[in-house]
Amino acid sequence: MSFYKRKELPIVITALCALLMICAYFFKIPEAKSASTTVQTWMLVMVNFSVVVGFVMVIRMHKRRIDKRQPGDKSWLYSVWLIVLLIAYVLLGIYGVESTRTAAPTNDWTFNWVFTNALVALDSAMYSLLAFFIASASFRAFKARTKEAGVLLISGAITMLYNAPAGSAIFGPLAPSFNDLGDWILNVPNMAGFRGILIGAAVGAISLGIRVLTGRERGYLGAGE
Amino acid sequence: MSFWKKLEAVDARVIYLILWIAIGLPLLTPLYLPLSISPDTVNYHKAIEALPAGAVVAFGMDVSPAGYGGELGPQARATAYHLFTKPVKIVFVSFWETGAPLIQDVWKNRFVADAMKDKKYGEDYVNLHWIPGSETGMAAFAEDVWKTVPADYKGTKLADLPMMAKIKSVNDFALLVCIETGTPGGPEYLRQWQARNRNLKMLVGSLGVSVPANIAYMASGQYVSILRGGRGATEYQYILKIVTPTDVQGSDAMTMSHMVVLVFLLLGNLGYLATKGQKGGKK
Amino acid sequence: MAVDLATMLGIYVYALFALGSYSFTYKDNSFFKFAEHTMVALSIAYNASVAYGYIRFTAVQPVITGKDATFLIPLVIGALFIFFFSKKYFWLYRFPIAVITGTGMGLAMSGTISAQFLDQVVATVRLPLYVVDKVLGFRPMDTLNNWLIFIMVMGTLAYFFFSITPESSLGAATSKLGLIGRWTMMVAFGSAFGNTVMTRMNLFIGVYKNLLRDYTSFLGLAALILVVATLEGQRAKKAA
Repeated sequence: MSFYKRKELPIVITALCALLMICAYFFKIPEAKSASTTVQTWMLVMVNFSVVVGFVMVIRMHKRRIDKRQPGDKSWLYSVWLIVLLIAYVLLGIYGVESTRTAAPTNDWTFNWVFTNALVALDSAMYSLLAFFIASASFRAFKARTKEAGVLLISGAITMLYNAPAGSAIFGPLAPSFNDLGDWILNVPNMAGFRGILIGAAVGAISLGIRVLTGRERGYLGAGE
Repeated sequence: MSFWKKLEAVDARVIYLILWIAIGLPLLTPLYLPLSISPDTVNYHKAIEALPAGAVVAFGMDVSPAGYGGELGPQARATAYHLFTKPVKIVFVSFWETGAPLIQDVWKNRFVADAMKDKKYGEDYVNLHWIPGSETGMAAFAEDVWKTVPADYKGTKLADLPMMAKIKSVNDFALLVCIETGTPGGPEYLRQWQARNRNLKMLVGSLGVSVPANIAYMASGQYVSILRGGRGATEYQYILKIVTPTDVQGSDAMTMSHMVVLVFLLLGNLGYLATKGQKGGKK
Repeated sequence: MAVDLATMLGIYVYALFALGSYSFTYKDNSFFKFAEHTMVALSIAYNASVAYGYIRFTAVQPVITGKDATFLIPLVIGALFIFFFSKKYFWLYRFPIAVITGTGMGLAMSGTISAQFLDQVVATVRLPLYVVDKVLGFRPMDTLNNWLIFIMVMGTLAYFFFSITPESSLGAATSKLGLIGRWTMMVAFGSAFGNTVMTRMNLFIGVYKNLLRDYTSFLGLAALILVVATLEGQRAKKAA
């Protein structure tokens, strides 16, 4: 296979870009700084093209569902709706950009209306479904079967009482040190635990970066030679 | 079947209905439950109060629609109101594509709109809209604002915005207020902004779920202070005296929801202990 | 107060999609599937639209007007993303990925060393282990807390040391310290759970507040969705 088709060339490009960023960050070399800012600005343009991959993949996936539809099964109609809405909203967005002569399609009233009333509703509602599942899990699944689970449960219960706006105002006078306890849990063991996790994660991120730089980590380049 | 076993076998939809009712009650009529103010919120307020006249503040609106609708919207509106009452210059920016249009939603809030009356766009505040690239976008903006952002949200060139004349890089900002949903957010700003300008102070309005990790950054002095989720937003509104009956209802609903979950936890564990004892007896 | 048609329609659309999403907690039904597919479509379309706007005015415009022809380079490299779908030319897709990954990785690594690693380590090491206030004198609780933080941070880090064998004396000491870290993390995760409950509940409260803007839309659509979901459930039971 020709050299330019193999993974080695992209790995070298990855390493060069990363080294340029590192040099510009740590050393006062004006040329490196200028070059790194230029590459960063180019990267901001490039990264927007990645949405095309997702766009085409979703259309292909739902087109396959439409093609494989069975008699009596109406679920393929949702795929039709998805594809129609996807293309329509993108066209509306492009119209919004061109008609307002700005980069923000939300400057167009119609596009913004759909964003505010449909997308915001859907995004909020889908994420808040977890509220129900947390309530259900609290009743059915969150049992103090071990000492560790018990500690987790007690810590969670005190935090919830402390977070409830009226919780600390009601329990504070009853148990004067309640607010201090809630504060203490957040600022001492919680802080210590998460600080340890942050430091560990930082070490992990740096080692992953070195692996990518040295070409040992190639997963981001996809399958194949 | 014993009472506890029957309770354990109850349909999950009954639990969901109880949640709907428990949260719906205070939303229909405010209960005016008491609220205490945490020191972190007081420090957040003090940090903005201490801003000198003419200071340049970056307002990072890095939110998703879900986060904005829940906890971050009230935080953003209260913070924007507070900043607009100060003689400072504000640069609104977002590294989340869904956060950028919500900047204008913040401006529509009646308290914020009132505070903005004497402010002039381009001289006192600007909206630089969305910058892609996540952390790379933050780095590019920190290095060279003008190269990264060609125009504001309406397409006006930066050269036509008088206040942008003196804002070229992150070194020109005194304070960053980051209202964050997730990544990119506070830690990314720390890595790319504060690492370049060690004098940059940071205030973070975060979701409750991010509070445990953000406490570590606050304890190390990297953040001046944080707003702790919905609770922090309500406390801040009380300090600024811009709390409305809807906010009070939201606060009461928050209390009721937490009490419901605590009751469920208690019942679930009592049931487990009771049935565990029964199982042990049968052996 | 007269509400204009667009606002009223917006309230009904909001209620339709919010209640459609929540209907999943009752039964899987066509309203939920409709909401689900709508969300996927709108999310991707929104991202594509803002991406188009950015590319159009940041890169394409300067190239067309001749102001900055160098933007042709990222435009060409970015366009190579389309070869993700080609078996023969898939290797071209790797070039934009390489630039994006390298740039992002270099920036993240550089910042992580100072912001996430050094600053946190320095903050831990600099904790005063004997706290004396100028006015109040010796502060026993603050001193104890600092000692606890120091030990707990060490314990949490020791918990993740898998490269030291427990059989050695150092390994045994590390395991004991790791035990402290384990209990610390249990408390930390309990606190995280408590805070997660607040976030999720607030997300729901935010939507609920918006639904209550208009009782007709809320109750009307809720009733409709419940009836349809129940009928669909009964039909599915009969068919099975």
